[in-house]
Amino acid sequence: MTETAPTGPGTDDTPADATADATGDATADVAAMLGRSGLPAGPYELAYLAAEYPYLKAGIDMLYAVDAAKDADPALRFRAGAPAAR
Amino acid sequence: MPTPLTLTEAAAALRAGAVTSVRLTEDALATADRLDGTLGAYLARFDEYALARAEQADRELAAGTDRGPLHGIPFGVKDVIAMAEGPTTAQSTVLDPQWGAGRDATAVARLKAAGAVITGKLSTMEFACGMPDPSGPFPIPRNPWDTAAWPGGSSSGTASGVATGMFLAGLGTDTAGSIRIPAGFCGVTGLMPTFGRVPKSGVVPLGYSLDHVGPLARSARDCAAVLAAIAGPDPADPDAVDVAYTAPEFDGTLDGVRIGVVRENHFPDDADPALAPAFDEALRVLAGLGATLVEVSLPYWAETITANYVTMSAEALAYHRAGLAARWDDYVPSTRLALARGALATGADYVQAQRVRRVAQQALARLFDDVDLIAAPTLGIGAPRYDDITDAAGNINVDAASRFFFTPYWDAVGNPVLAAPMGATAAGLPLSLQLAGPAFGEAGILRAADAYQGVTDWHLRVPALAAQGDDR
Repeated sequence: MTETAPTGPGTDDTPADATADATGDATADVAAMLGRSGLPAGPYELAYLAAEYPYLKAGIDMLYAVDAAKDADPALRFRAGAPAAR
Repeated sequence: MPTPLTLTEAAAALRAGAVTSVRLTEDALATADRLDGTLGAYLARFDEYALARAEQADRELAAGTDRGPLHGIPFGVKDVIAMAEGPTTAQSTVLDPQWGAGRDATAVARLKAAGAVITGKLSTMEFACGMPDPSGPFPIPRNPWDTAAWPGGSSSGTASGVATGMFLAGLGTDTAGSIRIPAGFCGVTGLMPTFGRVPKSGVVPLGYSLDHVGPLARSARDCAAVLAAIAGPDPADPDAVDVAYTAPEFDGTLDGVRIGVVRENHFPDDADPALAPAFDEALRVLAGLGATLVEVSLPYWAETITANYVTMSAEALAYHRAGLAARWDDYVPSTRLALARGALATGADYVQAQRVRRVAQQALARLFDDVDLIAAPTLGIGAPRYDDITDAAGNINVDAASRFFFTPYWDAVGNPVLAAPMGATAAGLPLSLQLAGPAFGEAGILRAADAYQGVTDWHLRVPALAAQGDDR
């Protein structure tokens, strides 16, 4: 990527819940989430994403801790009237 | 005369009668003949088409029809961007071969209207989000400064091709850094315009609300010429905006320009030792040109990067979910990982990411009340060698190095950013400076970068393998 972000096993900022237990628990959670999306992940992907998940979850939790976002309007817009096909 | 190094020089030489478009194009194709077997920049070449377009450009210029500075200039286009002359693959065996068939993306149509000579489609890594796959049918892109190293991505071929003279400018796309990372690692200049400044219609999507189309070229002045041709609204892209683009006045001075300097989060202890001295020297040059420097922090740095990550993953998975379910094994392993991350965030997480993007955008706008531009390193390291980013399973994976990529913040807020060469590591690998501006402030960025490049020559350096046998 290029299109990766510095949240994952390769980062230095280990979140507080990135323990072995948390990672172990994440395997089942991650498998369930991938399964709900119909993604047939194999052992390589499952292990990788499970190891990464605590970092991602810590990052997402951080998004909800942004006080200024409490009443913020999301950067989403829907306008009536269909645009031309892309 | 020797082949001009920059688009701007070539445009002047064409009008002075010192060179022809056919000669420029033949030289570019000969360079590709010589180097592309090593560098893997092209996925498809359109030699006959390009030479015919070059002949047409020469005829038109001789007859007094001048379509502007891109007229007769060899270009390349990243292969996530549709072009009627050939298929768009997104460097994947999964994408429908009929995707975009017979069509030009809006940016490509605008290049053609400006007389550009597009020589082919360029390496991008799968769907602009995977990594090169040694077991796949596509070439492994290599860095012209060290062919054992990654050129950066995902606009890999555009950057390495500009660095070596396979063409004088090209199009890339940037969702978390994919113009600026390869520009930085290959030692060329890349501009991510403001979100919506350049239409993304006809581009294979990665992150709908994050994808930017922009130029890579030798210099800021070259990028300005390309931007002037491709910017503007497009009814086919609901995100494309109708905000007038005024070309910068290149006067070589930064008198009265206030530049915010970002060090926080950009100098990890294990960054390349040459990074800090190179950045300090770049700042010294900018100050010498008249700029006033002030230290600043980028608001909501970590949160905004996470927002970029969540947004891109979710938007990309929406596009690819059916394909992944049906053809999981046909995606490259690193692409599967990148796309599957989208399943790990909820719908609420996605919306919260958009709320944080809005907050960061507003805080950054307030920062731009106090400064005109922001300067920061693009990357914390020189290009990593493939051996160092290949895991035990044999998969190339740059995740561990991505903490040195100081780029995704800007995609999430949508502000324009330019990456320009500013030095080199002890091993001779390029280092890069980012100059960012307020939304729709490309002209100020380009003017400052042009002033910087007027008194430095990092952007004109040519990799040794390209200089061999070259009369430049």
